[in-house]
This record gives sequence, C-alpha cells and structure tokens, in this order.
Amino acid sequence: MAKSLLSACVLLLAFATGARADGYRDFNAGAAASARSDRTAAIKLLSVALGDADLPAHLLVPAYLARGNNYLEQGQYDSAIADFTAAIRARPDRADTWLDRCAGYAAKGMFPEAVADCSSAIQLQPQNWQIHNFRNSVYIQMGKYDDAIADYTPFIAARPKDADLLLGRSDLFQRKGDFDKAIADADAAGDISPRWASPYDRMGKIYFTKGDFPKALDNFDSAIDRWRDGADGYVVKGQTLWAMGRFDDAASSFKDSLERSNLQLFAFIWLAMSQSRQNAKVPEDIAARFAKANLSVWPGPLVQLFLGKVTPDSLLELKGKDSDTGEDMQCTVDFFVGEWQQMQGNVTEARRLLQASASVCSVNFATHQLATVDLARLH
Amino acid sequence: MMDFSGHRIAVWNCSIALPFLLLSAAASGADAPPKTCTLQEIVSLDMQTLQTGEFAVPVMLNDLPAQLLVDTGSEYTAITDETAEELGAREKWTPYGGSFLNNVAINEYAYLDSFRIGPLHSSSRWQVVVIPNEILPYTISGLLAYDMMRNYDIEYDFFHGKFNVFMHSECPGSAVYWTHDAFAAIPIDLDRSKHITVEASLDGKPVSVIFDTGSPSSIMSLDAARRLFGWPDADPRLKSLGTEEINGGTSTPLYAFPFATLSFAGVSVSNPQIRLIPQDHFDAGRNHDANIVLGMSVLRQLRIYVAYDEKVVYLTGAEAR
Repeated sequence: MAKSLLSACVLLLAFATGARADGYRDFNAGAAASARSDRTAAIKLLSVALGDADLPAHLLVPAYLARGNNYLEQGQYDSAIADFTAAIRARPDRADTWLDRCAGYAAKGMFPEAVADCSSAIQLQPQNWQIHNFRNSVYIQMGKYDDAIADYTPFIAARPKDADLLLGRSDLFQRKGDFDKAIADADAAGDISPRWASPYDRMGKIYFTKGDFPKALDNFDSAIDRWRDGADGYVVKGQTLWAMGRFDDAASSFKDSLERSNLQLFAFIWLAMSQSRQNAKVPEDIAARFAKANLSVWPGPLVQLFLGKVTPDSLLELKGKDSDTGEDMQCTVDFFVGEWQQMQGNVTEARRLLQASASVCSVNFATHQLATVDLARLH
Repeated sequence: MMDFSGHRIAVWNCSIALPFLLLSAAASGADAPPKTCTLQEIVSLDMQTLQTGEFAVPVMLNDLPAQLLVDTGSEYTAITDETAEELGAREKWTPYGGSFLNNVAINEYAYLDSFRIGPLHSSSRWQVVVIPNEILPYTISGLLAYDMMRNYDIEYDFFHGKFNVFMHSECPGSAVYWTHDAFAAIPIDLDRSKHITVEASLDGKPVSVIFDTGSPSSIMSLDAARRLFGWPDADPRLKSLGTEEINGGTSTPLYAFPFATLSFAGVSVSNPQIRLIPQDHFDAGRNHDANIVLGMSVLRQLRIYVAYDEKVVYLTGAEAR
C-alpha cells in the first residue's frame, strides 16, 4: 500500500511540475534497443520503464512483451514467461500475449503448457493459420504428428489452392512414416503450382527416404529445372548420386552447387567426401575459399573438420537439435565424423559412428538412409 | 515471440497505380461536414504499440476485425498473404509491383470487398497490395498506408497512444491544438512513392528525411553519409553492428555513427540513433534521393500532425502540452 501511495505522489508531482515523462522515454529507449537487437540494453531500459510510475498505461503490455522477448532471446525462459504472464493478465483479449508465452513455454520445453497457450491465441484468432502453424511446431517437437495433421486438414479444405499447406502436411506425413500420403500431398501441391520447385524437392526427399533413389533423382532434377539459383537442389541431387555410388556425378553436382553459391557449406563437405571415393581432393581454389570463410556457425565446424582445422572430438561434444532438420545433432555429427574417419582409413571407427548415426537418426529422414547405405558398402 | 523488426519502407513502380477509391467520412451516407477553421476530428484510435516501437490500429477488413500497422513508408495499404487467405481475397500477380527496403519484391495485389476504420468506410472495393507474412508479426494483418491517409489530416500522438484522423484543415497553421509552446511547421514533399519527405539538419548538414512509421529504427545510406560528411574510409567513430536480414531479404551490413543532433526548423532530437547500410541495400534502384529513413526510434520523440492537403507537417516534442 505504501508503495502505491508513493507512486501516486510521484505521478502527481510530475504532472504538476511538467517534469519529464521518464516512463515514456525509457520505454522508447528500450524499444529502440529491442529494434537493434541489443538485448542487454533493452532489458535494462525496459525494466526501468516498467518501474517508472509514469509509464503510460497503453505501453504496459508492449513493455512486458518487449522485455519478455529479449529475455527469450537470451535464453532466460523463466523471466520471459513471467513477463508474458503479466502481459496476459493485463490484456487476455490479445492473441499476441498468449502466443508469446506459448513461444516461451516451447523454448523451455514445457510443451503441454505451450500448446495450451497457443490454443488460447487460436481462440482469439481462429482463422489465423500462422498461429495454428506455430502450435504445430510444438506438436512436432512433442512427436504428436496426428494432432498437427488434424490441424492442417480443415485449412486445406478451406484453402484448396494453397500449395504451401499441402507441402506442410506432406512433411508431417513423412515424419510419421506415411510416405504414400506424403507423396500424394506433394503431388497435389505440384498440380496447383506446376512451375514451383518445392513440390518436386519435397517428393525427391520422400523418395530418397524411402530408398527409391532413381525417382528421387528425377524429382530433384525437376526441382532444379524450376529453381532460380538451385544451389541447394544440386546438394540433394549430389547426395542421391552419392547414395547410388555414382561418386563422379555426385562430385559434379556439388561443384554445380558451389558455382551457384560459392560458400554452400554442405556442398563443400559432400564434395570432399565424393572426391575421396575417387582418391581425389577438393580443388585447391575451393578449399582456399572455404579456409578463409567464417566457419564459426553450424555447419561451419564440420567444414573445419574436413579442412583439417579441428579434431573430431570437438564436434562429438555438440548436443541438441540440428536447426535445419530438427534432428538430434548426434545423428548428423556422427554421420559426418564417421565419413571423415573413413577418409582417414579408420574403418572400424567409421563403422561405429555410422551405426550410431543410423540408430539415432529418425528412420524417416535422409541421414538415416545415407548412414545405412554407406554401412552396407563398408560391409 | 519473434524478432519482426522490419523496415517497411517501399518503393513502388509507377505502373501499379490502379484506381484507389476515397474513403467516405459518413458511414451513414450523409454529406461530408463543411470545411471550417476548427479542427474536425473524425476518429481517435488507440495505438497498439509493438515491442519495437511501431504501432497498429483497429480496422475492419471485409467486416472482420483486424489490426493494421500504420506505415507512412508505403504508398498502398497492404494485407499479408495470410490475411488474403483468411479473407478469401483472390491474389493477382502484377509485373509492376514494388519493393520494400533491402530489395524485397512485391508483385501481388487483391481487392477487399469492404474496408472500415472507425466511422470511415470505403465506398467500393478497395485495392490492396499483398505482402509476405514475414514482414509483420503473426497477429498484424497488414499495413495502413498513404492511399488511405492522404484523404485526411493525421495526427500521431505517441505519448498518449492515439492515432487521430481529422478532416483537412482549411486554415494554415491551425493544426497544433495541443500546446501553446513553439512548434515547427515544415513543408513536405511527397516523393514519387508518396513518402513524406522533409528537409532537416543532421549535425549541421542539410539532409532530406522520410518519415517512416513502419520502420522501428532509422536508416541512412552509408555511401550518402560518407559523401555528406567526408568521413575517411577507416573513421574510428563508424562502428560495425554486424549484419541483418532486413525484411527477410539478403543479409546487409549495418553500421552506427554517434550523430549529435537532428533538427527540424527549431525542434531538435538529440543523439538520434540512425543506422547506416550500403546504398545497394538502401535503395538499389536509386529512385528516391532521401538521405534518411526516419523510423520510430526517433519519431516517437515527436508529436506529429501531417496536413496532407496543406502539404505541411507540424512537429513538437512528444510530451508537449
């Protein structure tokens, strides 16, 4: 009570004397810091703003959401969730307050709580697919593919020309291992948008995961025909050729990728792997280009391994999820370190790592297939 | 939930200029009120301030409630892809679109059957540009732009969180009703993309400034700044801020410089935070010559009344009373 009275006095004094509106200015400074992604400064300034007695009421929720999101970016999940909760208390009628706390819970791994909050946001904006899709990303992390698929179905019915929705559901069917339905959705997406590369890329990936490499190759070629730059398309095509044992063609495809995107990191790694199968090395100009590149961000450390700059031990410590595939990092790291060991002639260690990779990777994803194919070659 | 710090300034190709209809002030169909020297407020809307300082206002799109981010950096009102899908607004492709900052191309448009803002409503279908979802937070449906705002005078009262719409004033100089203190009245030039452009002074050098309520931060061409101030290549005051994929486009390097003062005919902003990016990302087509895109990091320090008919912008400090 004493604190409330004091705040009221300060507010009256400020009003009477025309003193500067600290809360407003501190919020503005915090918002500006948020905009330039200066998280530490933003949290500090917004904390001051939220402590200011004269913070305009209309800025209370933006201040909590802004500080909460800065906490979230810094990995301070409990603080973020506390701020989002305060925002919800102030404005439970705003979908963004629930959606932000959904993201906070999801980041902390509290998936049921995240789903509940996303569902509250959906109740406020039921036709907003982006919110549904965010909840789906939580369902995927929970492995609840059926719930996510069920979410797609009414939207696909309501938006029959939306190829994106079909591709999204196709991905879910693949994750579930229902390849026929995954292909059907990707095929339907291709019918809607025949000049779009993504449906063919999607179908290529499904056929690859099924182990049907010739059909995968056909679809990747169709995707490349439609892609504007195609750098990634040449990588997946090259992987397919590698899986088929056509190492020379695979190397050509990875070089094609590097011609279109000269720092495609996976193209470099795969080129090194393909060349080694032909007792050749990566061309010096390409190796020199990558040696000068910033390789600190994933999958840069893998490139460093293939350049001989780091040891495998430093990579095997990497944990968590691969942000590209959503796969366990061990799946990817074990595979590539296994391939690197094979290049060094350490067949026993290569076999051990590839077996580990194949057992950790989801059977519905490409790396499992690649590890399995190469293990068979080692035997 | 996500960092949506877009810079929603757009440059449009001329050929997109398909007809946009005026909003009618009288929802009931009554005639517009006679013009007088008294400011006639039509509607005062609550700003929904975003966490990076921009703001949205409530509207009705096809009779459904929505929030549009107010963007003086765009010529045409826009809806996101998602909103177009929600509304069942059929998207059409045009080769004559435009682009947002960082060369993010826009090539689709659609029609709204109805468009309402408070008591204002479109008298017919309203053409809108369709923009990528990535430019806005999930819960914001699009951008409110020049094509609607030009029909009225618009006041931005950030301190009280109000977006006020007035009939055009017939009496020059009568706009600043909120204070008896000094204010700045600056002629505005609308460039070919209808950006509000004014002359100002940055650390004593004359600059052109675009007011862009759709940008959280303020941006200047690094090349233009170098020419203007004659900085040497390795000026130690120029600090790298890393890179950013502005508007979801390609990664662009960002720099900061400790500017001291941005002045508008007597109204000054101290230590304006203006980020610098290469000219190729700032304006690849070089089809407008403004030196600074002034975003919310600076605009929120001002109270702004844009008299579109009179072609003058009135400014005071945000907290003036």
